[in-house]
This record gives sequence, C-alpha cells and structure tokens, in this order.
Amino acid sequence: MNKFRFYIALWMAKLALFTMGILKYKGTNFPGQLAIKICPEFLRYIGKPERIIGITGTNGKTTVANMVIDSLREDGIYPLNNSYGSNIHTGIATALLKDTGFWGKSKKEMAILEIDERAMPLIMTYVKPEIMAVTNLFRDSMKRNAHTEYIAGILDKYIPDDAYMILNGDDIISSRLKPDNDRVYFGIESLPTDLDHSINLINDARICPECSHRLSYTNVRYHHIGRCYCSNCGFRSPEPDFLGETPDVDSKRITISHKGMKYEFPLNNGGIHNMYNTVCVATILYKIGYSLKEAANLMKNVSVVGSRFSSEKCGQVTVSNQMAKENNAVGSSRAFDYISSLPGDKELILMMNCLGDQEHWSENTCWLYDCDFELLNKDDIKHIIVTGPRGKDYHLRLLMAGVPEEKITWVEKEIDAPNKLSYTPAESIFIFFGTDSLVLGNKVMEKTKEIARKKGELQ
Amino acid sequence: MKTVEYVFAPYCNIYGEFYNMEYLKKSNDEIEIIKSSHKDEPYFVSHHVDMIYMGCMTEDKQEKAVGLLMPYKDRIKALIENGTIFLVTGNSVELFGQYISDDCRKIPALGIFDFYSERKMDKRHNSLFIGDFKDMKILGHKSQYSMAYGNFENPFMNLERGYGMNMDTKKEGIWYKNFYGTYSLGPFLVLNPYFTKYILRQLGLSEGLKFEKEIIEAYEYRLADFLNRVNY
Repeated sequence: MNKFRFYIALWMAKLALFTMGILKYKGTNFPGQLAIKICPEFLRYIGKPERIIGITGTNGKTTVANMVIDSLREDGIYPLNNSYGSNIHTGIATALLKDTGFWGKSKKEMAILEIDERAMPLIMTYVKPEIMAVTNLFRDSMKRNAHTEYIAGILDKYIPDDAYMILNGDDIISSRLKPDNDRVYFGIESLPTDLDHSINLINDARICPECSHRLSYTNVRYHHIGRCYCSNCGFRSPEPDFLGETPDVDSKRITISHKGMKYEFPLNNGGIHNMYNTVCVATILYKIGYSLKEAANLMKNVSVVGSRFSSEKCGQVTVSNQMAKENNAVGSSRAFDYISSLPGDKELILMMNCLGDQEHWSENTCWLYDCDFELLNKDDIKHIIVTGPRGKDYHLRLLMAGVPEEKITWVEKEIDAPNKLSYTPAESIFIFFGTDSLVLGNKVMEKTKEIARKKGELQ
Repeated sequence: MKTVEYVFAPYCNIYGEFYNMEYLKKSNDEIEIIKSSHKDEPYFVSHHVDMIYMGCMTEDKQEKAVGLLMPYKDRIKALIENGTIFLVTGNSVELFGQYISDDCRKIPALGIFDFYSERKMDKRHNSLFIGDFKDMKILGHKSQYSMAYGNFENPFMNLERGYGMNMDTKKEGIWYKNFYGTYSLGPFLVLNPYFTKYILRQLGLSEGLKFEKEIIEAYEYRLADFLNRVNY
C-alpha cells in the first residue's frame, strides 16, 4: 500500500514539476510538498544517489553548498542538489524528485544537500549522508531554533552514527558533535586580528563543557569562534587537520595546509567567515576524493552567489547588497563586522525586517539586543537609514550602540529609503536585508542604483 | 548607590537579556550592577541588594541554576518578604514554583510560589502579548518549551491579548510585594519603558530614561503593531 502511494505521489509530483517547468517557476518546493502530502514516507522510497554529502550549520551552509556544487561542475560533475529549493524536507524531496526516473530511481551518483538543522528529524530518518559537514553552531531564530544546546541535541540525535563528520575545530560547540563518529576538523591559524576574549554580545561558549569552569581563549575571531582551553580541567579546542593560513585579503588568497601539503585557494571576499567557508569547502572536496591541489584548481572560478553579496559601481558610488539574516543576531553581526572593516566612507540602509512574521504578527525584537550594532559606530560610516516595520527599533538600538543621533535617519517605508541617501562621490552604499525581504530588498537596491546613476550623470 | 544583582549572568543571557541591566545602568548612574556567576556564591546571600534580576536560560542551565539556588531558598524567601525588588524573566520564573516536569522527570524548584511547570521539548510556543499592569500596557515576547499551571491569584499582568502562563489563562506571571516574574523573555526593560520608569521609582531613583524620546516612540510603534496583529 505504501509503495502504491509512493508511485502516485511520485507521478503527481513529477507532473507538478513538469507543469511548473513550462510556467518557468523555479526554486519552489511545491512538488516535494505535494509528494510528502500524498505519501508521508516519500523520502524513504524515493531513489537516492549512492553518495550523499550533507552540509548544515547556522551560518554559511548555503554558501558552502553552492561553492562545492560549483567546484564539482568545474570538473564536469553535476551533482543532485537543492540550491534552487528549500533546505527542509520538502526541498530535499523536490531535489531528489528532479533527478529520478519514471520509477523513482535516482539518475545521479552524488548529491550535495544543504540541510536545515531544525529539519534533521524529518530528513535524516531516510536520507543518510556519507559525509556530514557542519559549518558552525550559533544562536539563530529563537522561534525555531531556541538555542545552540537544543540544536546540538538534534544534530547528535539524527545525524547517522556512520556519517563521516567534517567539523569546525575553531567552534567549540559544533566540534563536539557526534563524538563517536569518524571526523576531521578544519580551522584557521592565528591571525593578527585575533583577540584573547570575545567582544561580541553573544558568546555561547563561556563555560567549559567538561567541568563548567570559565573557559579561556587564546584566539578569538568572533563570538565563540577561535581557540579555547580550560585552566581547570585541561579541556581544549581540537587541533585542525585542514588549516587555513596566511590569508591575504588584498590578493584574495588563502593557503590551506593538510599533512604537510600546502596550496593557495581563492577567497571570495575578505571576511573571516568567508575564510572558514573556503577551508570547509576545500575539506569537503578532499573528503569527496580530490587532492588538495585539485581542490584548489576547482575552486579557482567559484564565486559567492549574488543574492548573498553583490556590488556594482553606479555613477560615482558603489552600491552593494549585504545578506543579513533577519532574526539572526550572529548573521547580522558578521555582516556588520565585515562591512565596517572595509575602507572608505559608507552609507547604509538597514532593512533586515522579518516580513514573513509581519504578515501574521509583530516580529520578536529580542535579537536586536544580541546583535552587535556597536560595530556600526565607526567614523567612516557616515549615515545609516533605518526603515521598515522595525525601523524605530533599529533607531533605538543604534543609539544604544553609541551611534550619534545625527547619523541616523528613520524612513517608514523601505522603498523610500534610497531617496534619503546622500550619494556622496566615492562612497559605498550597503543595503542590508535577509532572505525574507529578498524581493523588496532587490527593489530598494535597483532604485538606489537608478538614483546613483542619475546623480552620476549630473556630477 | 543602588545595587542590582544580575544572578548567574553567564547562564541568564540567551535572548538579549544582558541589555536589561545595560539599559538600567545607562539610565541612571546611581545604579551599580553586580554580575554573579554560577561558580560564585550569589552576592545577595551575604550582601544587601536593592534588586535581583534573573533572565532566560537553556533547559540544562535552568536545572543547574535551581540546584545552585536551593541552599539559599530561605534567604530568597526573606528577601522577597522584606520587599527587595525581583525581576525574573523567561523560564527563570519557573525556578520559583514548586517543580518543573519534563517527560517522566520531576525537577524540584524553590517552592516559593504555588505553581508548577511542564516542559515539552517537542512543542515550542511562540507568542506575543499585551498585558495590563497598573496603568501600563506591558508588551511581551514568549518563546518557550514549557507552560505553568496553578491558580495565579496574583498575576503580574492580566492579558488583553496573547496567552498567559498556559494556553487556558490570561493571567501572566507572578506579582507578590516587589517580586515581578513573567515568561516574557529578552530585553524586557528596553521593550517596556514605562515599566522601567516604575522600577526606577521603586528603587527610589529619578524615573528619567536614557534615550527617553526614542525608546517611547519605538514602544508606541510596537504597541500599535501588537494591537493590529496580535488577535488571540
């Protein structure tokens, strides 16, 4: 009976997929939704590639998955993937569905799947990755993810016991996952910018997981990312097997070493989180079967997708979008840190409003007080426009962070924000928005570019 | 100088709770914040404090915290009885009930107030509320795995919108003398400037707030938003 339901689900979902293809709908998980609605055990029966590489973690999993997929394409391998769909069970179902034949047998040998941490229970019961990479674990949306202990508990419970783990050795939370699984750690060596304590509001690894004593750090990059030890019980961060060394932001290169071999890899941009993404991708490629040298070659032409970060010179200014996940204090803090570290004068539009929440209720604003708005209190950030449903809250938060009142402008509607920018020649304009406000964010971006071009013609 | 103890600060800061203390301090220089850690004896055990704050914790830390506070149960009761201000937000409020149940486990709590809590780790509850306290509208955010049950004869607030201590009551929190406990989490004082003024008055200080104009504007905007959208 179940198998009969599966075939009905498969064919109905394939029909939906075909119809949507004709209508040019891309990136939806409706076929997978439909399939699971008809056959709740759809993921059990659908054919799967022999090799499945899963990528999860709070931040960077989309970027890492896309970079791995793009690298493999450089080698002529087109793995099954969910980069155009969602990373929950219905998105995974849609991705698997796309590459199966009439009887549901997979046509691909390998899958690269970005998997939402919270959706693990619905996915991992039937989809068993051979390799599981975890980029990091941080506080995320409190509504869905509660806290890191809760998410770590889910990953420990649902990641298969025989999955080979690729873990961030500089993240004391995720590096302790699945302690009995085979594993390899990636990390980044000491950097000149390292601190000996976290300056971020969020540090979820202050206490030794073994003895509850206060942890000490030798190298802190951000939040709890870095190298730590416990002076009471001797507990310390694991040694990375794949180590990012001597990153050069100007030439956009980083050296990655493993067992005495060293090769240069390209960096997409200079943020430390991107260095971790790059080292994670290199480690995944190595575990898939490439040598480090081959991995470096494959990654040469790989870039971060435009929805995450894109930049364009318009008139006499540069206009960029910066992905800053709404409801995610660490994601936004990382974006603030990266932008504030860039040289030159800047104007910002902050519109990381959770529009999905806003349709049904009012967004929970607690995350704003976990997020490091203090990083925006810099002389070369000349003007910050706060807008959207939480504009007044951003305004208050920026004042609390020490940003002078005269630098802040509140605009009620996001689409009006570009009118308030000064477009001072040679400056950079950054528009911060998350996936939830992608459509509106792109409209604001286009309007900003249009005004910048017109002003450029007049100047 | 008024002394405010932020009890188990490294534990009680998972949703921006830190900013409750930061904002109090910013608003009045006469306030000294003492942050105690789970490794120290709480400051209130052998010192005078004017106010005690506890915020939301992970479930694991919550169980550790109740164990660490249990030896000082009588001292805590005495402080509540003598009128010390307690602001207890998020799941910290559960520590002051009779017990917390989780599946088949029963975790003893301090037993100061007559209610108990039930934790269900597969059911996360998210909601917002508007509550009446004196002549104020209190705005709250909930994101939790547990609900509390009891008579709640002296709730902190009666809710105009939203769910109270459990899905079947509009009574939210505990109010006894100067003890104010609520499931609302995060930067409660930043989100409720009129209540912050009230706390400052209770401390015997001037009620002026830092960024008063902007914090009230943000509150009023949010209140209007809640009134439009919170319909339960």
